[in-house]
Formats: sequence, structure tokens, C-alpha cells
Amino acid sequence: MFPELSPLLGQVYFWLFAVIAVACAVNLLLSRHPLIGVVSLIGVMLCLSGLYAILHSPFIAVLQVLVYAGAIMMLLVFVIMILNQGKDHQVPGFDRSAIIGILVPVALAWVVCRELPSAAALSQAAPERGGMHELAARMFATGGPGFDTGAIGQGWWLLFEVGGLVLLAAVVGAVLLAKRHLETDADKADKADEPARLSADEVEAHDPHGAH
Amino acid sequence: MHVDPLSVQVLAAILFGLGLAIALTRRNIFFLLMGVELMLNAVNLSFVGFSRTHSGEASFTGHLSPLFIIAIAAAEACVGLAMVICIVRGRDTLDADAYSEMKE
Amino acid sequence: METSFLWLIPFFPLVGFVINGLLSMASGRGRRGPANGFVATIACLAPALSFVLAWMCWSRLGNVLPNMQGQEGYRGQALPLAQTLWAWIEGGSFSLSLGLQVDRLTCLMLLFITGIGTLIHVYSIGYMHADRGFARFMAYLNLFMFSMIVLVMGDSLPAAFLGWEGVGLCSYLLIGFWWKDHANNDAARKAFIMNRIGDLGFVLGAFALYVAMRGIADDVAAQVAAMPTAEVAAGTNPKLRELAAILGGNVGLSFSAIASFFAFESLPLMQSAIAGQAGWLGAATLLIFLGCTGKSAQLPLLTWLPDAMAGPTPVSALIHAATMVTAGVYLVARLAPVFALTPDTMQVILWIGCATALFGAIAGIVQNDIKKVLAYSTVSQLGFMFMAVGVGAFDVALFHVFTHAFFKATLFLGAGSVIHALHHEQDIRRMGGLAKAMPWTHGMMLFAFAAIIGFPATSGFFSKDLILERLHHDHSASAQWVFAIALLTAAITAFYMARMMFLVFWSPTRLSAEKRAHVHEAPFSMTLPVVLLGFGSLVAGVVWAEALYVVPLHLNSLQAWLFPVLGPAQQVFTNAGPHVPDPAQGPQWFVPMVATLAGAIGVFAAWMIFRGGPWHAVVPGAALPALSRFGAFWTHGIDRVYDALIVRPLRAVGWVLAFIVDNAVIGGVGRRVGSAAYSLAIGYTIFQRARLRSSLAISLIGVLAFLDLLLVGGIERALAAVRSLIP
Repeated sequence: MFPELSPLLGQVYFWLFAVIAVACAVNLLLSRHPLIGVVSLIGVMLCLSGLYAILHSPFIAVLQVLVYAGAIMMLLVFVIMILNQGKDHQVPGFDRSAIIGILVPVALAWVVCRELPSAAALSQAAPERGGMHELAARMFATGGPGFDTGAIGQGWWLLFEVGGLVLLAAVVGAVLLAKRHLETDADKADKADEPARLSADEVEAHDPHGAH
Repeated sequence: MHVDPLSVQVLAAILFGLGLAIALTRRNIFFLLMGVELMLNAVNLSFVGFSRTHSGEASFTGHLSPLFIIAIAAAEACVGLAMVICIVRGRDTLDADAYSEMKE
Repeated sequence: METSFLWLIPFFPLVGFVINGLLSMASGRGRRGPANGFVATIACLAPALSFVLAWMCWSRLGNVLPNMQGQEGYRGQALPLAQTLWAWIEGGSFSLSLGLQVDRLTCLMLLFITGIGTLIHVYSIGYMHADRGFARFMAYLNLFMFSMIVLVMGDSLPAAFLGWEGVGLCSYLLIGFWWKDHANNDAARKAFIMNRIGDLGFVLGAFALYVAMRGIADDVAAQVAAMPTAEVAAGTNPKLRELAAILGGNVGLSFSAIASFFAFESLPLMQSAIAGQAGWLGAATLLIFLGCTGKSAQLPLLTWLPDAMAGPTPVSALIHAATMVTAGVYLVARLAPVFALTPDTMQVILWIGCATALFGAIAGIVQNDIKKVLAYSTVSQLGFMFMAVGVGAFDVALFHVFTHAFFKATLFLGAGSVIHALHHEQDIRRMGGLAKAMPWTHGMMLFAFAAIIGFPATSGFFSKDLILERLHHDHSASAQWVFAIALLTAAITAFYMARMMFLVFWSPTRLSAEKRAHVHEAPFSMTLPVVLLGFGSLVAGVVWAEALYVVPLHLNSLQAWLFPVLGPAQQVFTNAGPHVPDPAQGPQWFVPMVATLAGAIGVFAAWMIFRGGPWHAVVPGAALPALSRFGAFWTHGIDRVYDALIVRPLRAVGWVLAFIVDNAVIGGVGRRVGSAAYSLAIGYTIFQRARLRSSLAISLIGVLAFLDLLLVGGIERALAAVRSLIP
């Protein structure tokens, strides 16, 4: 599927992508404007896509570009543009409590990295390839040339369907959440009829101590 | 494979740490979301990296988990951004620290 | 025998109800109802057709020759007509089909229900013609006829219960017919609720009866099985074979099954089985009698009947005097074979009937509402019927039901005419002198008055006299006491009825001049039924005229007619066949003389006091408040007892439940738990940071520590360190 990279080229590409990804992530951390942050994040994702390709997972690499860099980031940019009312700079980037926010991840990464070399799982093995053909055959247990269906088991199709359902629910939920006018005409008529009661309710709702 | 699996995992850890740092330190709600996305990506990288160091079904799981994580991340971004729109409309601020009524 | 027409008897009133009900509903929004003529035709035709069919039944059930000296003559044609409609309840070993039957008892009831019912329908045309709800009223009346016919024709306890509930519903609907007045609705609810108490007794009694019969059947079957087979097979005892055949079938709640079941009660093995189930049988009869006290307004469930006078007067005449309230007597007579086995219950019935009769009669004296007087008189007369039942004189009780239907319907309809003429004036203190203004009404009410006080040769004379006679001839000592009280009650009855007649018709008029000018005789459609019923109340006693024992007419055809149904059960009490007068003894003068004397004393006393007007004409003014206080005390006494014994304790229990159990205990626990959780939560907020980032970071420090311990094996190291600390 992919031509095998020469070892040296593989090393070069890996370090290239790794450095760019980390640099972009740091830029994301430091940038003031969300749009710059989004562009940095897209950079990280493109680098990761390249890394997946190097790591023999071409299908995930494609998805990474399509879904993450394409769809999700696009959506993010879109929302930032909608809500950008020139107030970004009023939100300070860092404050005093950010120190702990830096220290904790550093400590976390340090602990993990310290223990990684001793992990037995890092020895080289005979891995499967992550092409679409292989993934589809495994995911839906359809088998195919070169695959023993008996060894595959039941497949992951149920999880796949659930994933689809979650996406659908998310879309519906997002529409409901972001929609501005959810109330029907009847509700409006009710509100028009009872302005006094409504205002009383509003007073109570805005009273922070009303619940007590 | 020519790529050192340890390097991949270290890179994943660094990216995860950076994402976490973004989510913890930045007060702009968009950066919060982006930090979460970055963490998810780091985990994906870790999965793919491990898929190179296992064989058989375990290797395959390493390929497949990122698929589902991407799908769920898409759903999360979708709902999360809708909630951001909703919240910002009501409060007129992007400062995550302003959303602190839970302790009232 | 052709019996497939039986279903038509209840069907006609049902059709009338459906047609008039639909008409009433369809015209509900209009200002005017459907045409009165059409509605009235349908409504009156339905019970009239049923009456014709009931007459056919009567002719098929066989005539009884007037002179029935020979025993065989009493048997006559005794097979009941029966028609099974459809399978009703099927469950395990229990199966019940819904069916109709007409035996002689049912036929008697049917004849006067449909006959008097038709007349009262006709009367209602005149009485209700101006009412907007005329069609609705007629529909309800037809529904009542349907329910009442089902009640007496149902061939099983559950089937009769359908009609029983149906008449209760119609009673409720018709008492509250003028629903715009809240008092009427209260009266309707009161009647409905008190009837429900009785109905609960009916249902539980039916269950208990089933259990008892089941137990007896199992017991007998076990005894038969234990016998030498030869004896059963050889048929040395033919009755035993018959019994085995009956017990082989299912124990059912149909009346014919009950009757044939208990027909073997003289067999020794049956008697021991019945003795074994005496508790259940007693419970069954007592509970069923509780149902009867509700429907027939006996103590302690009687106060609904006077209140039920809130309904239109034809309703009072039809439902609350002539037919529905006698359903209790019918039911006891129908289950006579069972009641005959429980002498204790019969004693209870006897004394309750006696107490009710006396209570109603005394209450009748102090009423000022003409309909209330008649209502308490009904209560009192129903007490007489139950007295007769209590000594096992079922046929006499039914005879009194029959005659009472005539004279009480006449009295009510006559009262209705008076009320109608006086534009809904019901207070007898403000009447008087109406005899000339309303000659027909006055004449007919005079006939009915003669009947109810027991004037010789009127219908009431025969029936009341027979009751007294049976009481007098009963062997038990308690019956003699009851006989004395019944005589006293008869005198009081004459007194308060005469009071009513004096105040309404015979005393000087107390009407305003303006009203006096408007008094008029009722229209023809109202007068005709009153006249028919009035003459009926004079002559209805002829069906048992022999009771006089003065002239040996031997016209006791009603007794002979009912003998196949009630005779076996009554033999338990009288130990003789139908009461045939012994010619050697000659005329029996004692009881009729005493009863007539009691009536005469009552009338004379009333003449002394009331000929000039209400009490104050004779009684000194100072005594009047005491008198009215006594009246209120007596009339509302039972309601007060209910209040003290049932309502207040229930309220107290309710208060305890509401304020102590619910509010203090349960609510207190709830509030404690809630406030405890709230305090915990308030305390816990100390550990929380307001800002999301801070709390997240702090939690991550925990994660970090845990991860460190886990990955590096720090847990083991920490444990080892702790262990090393322990010496």
C-alpha cells in the first residue's frame, strides 16, 4: 500500500513531524488569539497524520486529516468567528494559578516518561497493518482473502453502530442547544398572557439566594 | 520498523502534557476545548504507537481504537461547541473562570 | 315450554332508555327538549309491554284453584320459566352463565313492578311535563325499570347483583335529578354511599355463601365416598343418589342451584355438613341481610331514604316506596332456603325489623314535610315486612310488599298531586282543607289511608293482620315481644297517618287566599293512575282474603301460588304446610280485633289533637319547643350516631395519620435526612474550588501521586515502610 520508507528517511520524517508537532503545541499554549491557536492545532494534527502514516496506519492518517483537521477544526474556526466580538484580548492568557497548571502536566509527563523504558510492551513484534481493507475485515468480521474469520471473532460492528448513534444524538443535541428560538408560538402566547407571573418567576430565577 | 517505539510514546506523553497544560492554564474557553482535543490526539498517537509493538489482535486493537476515539471526539466537539454558543449567548464572556456558580 | 321471550321483558325498558337517553343527549344544548308526546309514548309503552309479557308468564306458571284444601293442589305448575342468555364467568371449577328466570316469586314481583311502574310513568307525564329534563327523567325511569326487572329476573346472585347495582344507580340519578340544588346532590350522594355499604355486604355475603356451599359439598362428597359403595349403588336411598348427582355438578350461585342444593337439608349427612359450615352460613346470611338493610332502609342504614325525598315525587313513589326498597325483602325470600338454616340471623332480622318499624313510626309523627311523613312511613312498613321475614313468614312479607306497593304508591302520587296543586309547597302545616278542592285525590288518598291503618277489608288490613298473626303464633318468646311492639307501632302508624290526613285535607284551611284560588285538581294523566292505584289499595288484599278467617272464603291463592317457591323453607319455621285454617276452631277474632282497635285508637287520638290544625291548636304553647326539639333529636338521631361512631373516629384517625404519622414522623424523617444531606453538602464545599481549572488541577495532583505509586511500585514501598514502623 505504502512504499516502505528507507530507515534513514523514516527517522528523518519522524523527528521532523515530532518537532513540528511539539512546536505547534507550544505555540497553541502561548498564543493569544484563538484563531492562531486553531491554526497551531491543525499543524499538530497534520503532523500526527504523517506520523500515523509512518507507523503503518494509513487509514487513521486519512481520517485524521479528514475528520480532525478538516471537520472538527473547521467547526471550531467557524464558532470562533461567530462569537468573536473583539473580546478575546480581555481574557488574560495566564494568571497566577497557571503555575500549578504547568507543573502538574510536566510532572505527569515526567513520571510516565521515566517509567516508559522499563515497559515490556515496547519490544518489537509482528504487527498488523492498519489499512482500510484490514480494518474493515476485522471490524465487521467479514473476513476476506487472507483473513481467517474464525480467528476474528464477532467483530466490532455493534460498537460501530453505537458510535453512529452517538454521533446522531450529538448532532441533534447540538442543534437543540444552539438554536435560538426553541419556544413555540403557543409558549409565546402564554407569556404574553401572563406578564406579571413571568416577571415574578424571573425575579426568583435571578435571585442567587432564592434556592435557600 | 525504523522508528523507535519509545520515541513515539515519549512524544505522545509530551503532547498530552502540553494539551493538559493548555486545558489547565488557559482561561479562554476555546483553548480549553483545543487542549482537550490535543490530549485526545496524543492518546491516539499512543495507541497507534503501541499497535506497532504488539502482534495479532492487540495490534489490531491499537489500530481500531483511534477510529472510535475520532468518532467520539467529533461528537464531543459538536456538542461542546454548541454548549459554548449557548453559554456565551447567556453570559457574554469567554472566560471559563466566570462560570463558577457551582459553589454557590 | 316456550321461554325464549323472557329476554324481552327487560329489553323493552332498555330500548326506551336508549331512545330517550339519546334524544335527551342530542337535545342537550337546545333551549327546548324533544317533543313530550313522543318521549312519553316511548317511555310508557316500554313498561306496559313488559307488563303484558309478565302477564303471559303468570298464565304459563299455572293457575291455582281458589280452594286448595288438598296438598297436591299447592304444587300446581311450579316449574320456573328460564332462559340462559350467555356464558358469563368461566374460571377454573367455577362457571356461571347469565340467565333470566321467572318463577312464581319473580312473577309476583314482575307484575306489580311493571304494572305500578307503568301507572307511575303515566303519572310522570303530567307531573314533569313542564320540566326541561323531561326526556332525561323518562330515560332514567326506564333504566330503573330495566334494572329492577333484571334484579328480580336474574337467575343467580351475581345476575341479581347487576340489577341491584343498577337500581342503586338509578336511585342516585333520580334523587339528584334537580341537580342545580346542592342539597339534592348531597341527598343523592348520601343514598349512593349508604347503599354501597349495603352492597359490600351483598357481595361479601355471596362470597361467603359460595364458600359455605363449597365446604358442604366437599363434606358430603367425603361422607358419601366413605359409605359402602353397595348402599349408594343399590339405590336404597333414592334421595342420596339425587344428592350425589347434584353434588357431582358444580356448586353454583344460581338460585335454582342454591334451592336444589339446600332442598336436601333434611338428610342426616347433609345436616352434619351444614352444622360444620354454620359459621360461614351465618356470615353469609348476615352479610346479605346487611345488603338488604341498605337497599330497604332498615336500621342502621336507613337515613338515606327520608333524604331521598329530594327527588321528584313520582320517583319517591316508584323507587323509594313501591319497588326498589322492597328488593331487600325479595332477596331474603329468594334465599329463603339459606336463611331457614340460620335461626340466629332470623332473630336479628326480626328485631331489626321491629326496631325500624317503631323508629320510623315515631319519626313519622314529628315530620312536617308531607313527603318525609310518607318516607318514614315507608321505613316503618318495611320494618313490618322484615318482622314477617324474621319469623319465617316469607309469603306474608311478600304479600305486604304487594299491598304496600299499592297504597304507598297511591299516597305518594296523591301527595305529589297536592304538591303540584300548591306549587311545590310541601309543609303540611301550611295546608288544610283541601278535601273539597281536590276531591279525586282526596278520595284515593283516603282509600290508601284506610289501607295503611288497617281498616277492615282493605288490602293493608289483610297483610298487616297476617304479619301480626304470624308473630302472635310464633313459638319463640321474642316474637311475643315483637308482636306487642308491632301492635304499638300499628297504633302510632294510624296516628301519624291520620295527622297527615287531618292537616292536609280535613282541618280548616291555612292557605293564603291567593293560593286558595289557584288550587286545582291534577290533570287527567295524573288522576288516572292515582285512581287505579287507590282502588287497587282497597281491593288488592283479595288475593289473600282468607286471612280474615271470619268468612271462610279460602281465597288464599297468593299463599298457594307462592308455596312451591317458599313452602319448603317456611316449613322449617311453621312445621306445617301452608296455614290452613281449622274449621273446627271457627273464626279467629283475637288478632284482627286487637289490630283494628289499635288503629282506631291512633285515629281517635289524631282526631282529638289535629282536627283543628297543627299541634298548637291543642298542645300548650310552652310544650312546642320541646316537641320540635324532640322531633329534631329523633329525626337526626341516627345521623348523630353515625357522626359520633364513624365520622368522628375516622376524622380522628385521619388527623393522627395526617399530623402525627405523616407530618411529624415521615415528614420529620424526610426533613432530617434532607437537612443532614444539606449540611454535609455545605461542609463539603470547603474542599471545592470555585474555578474549574483549579479543581481539575488539584484532582490531577491526586492522579499523579497515584500514578507514581502504581508505576514505580511505590505502593509496595509505602506498605513496606509502614510495616517497618510497626515493631
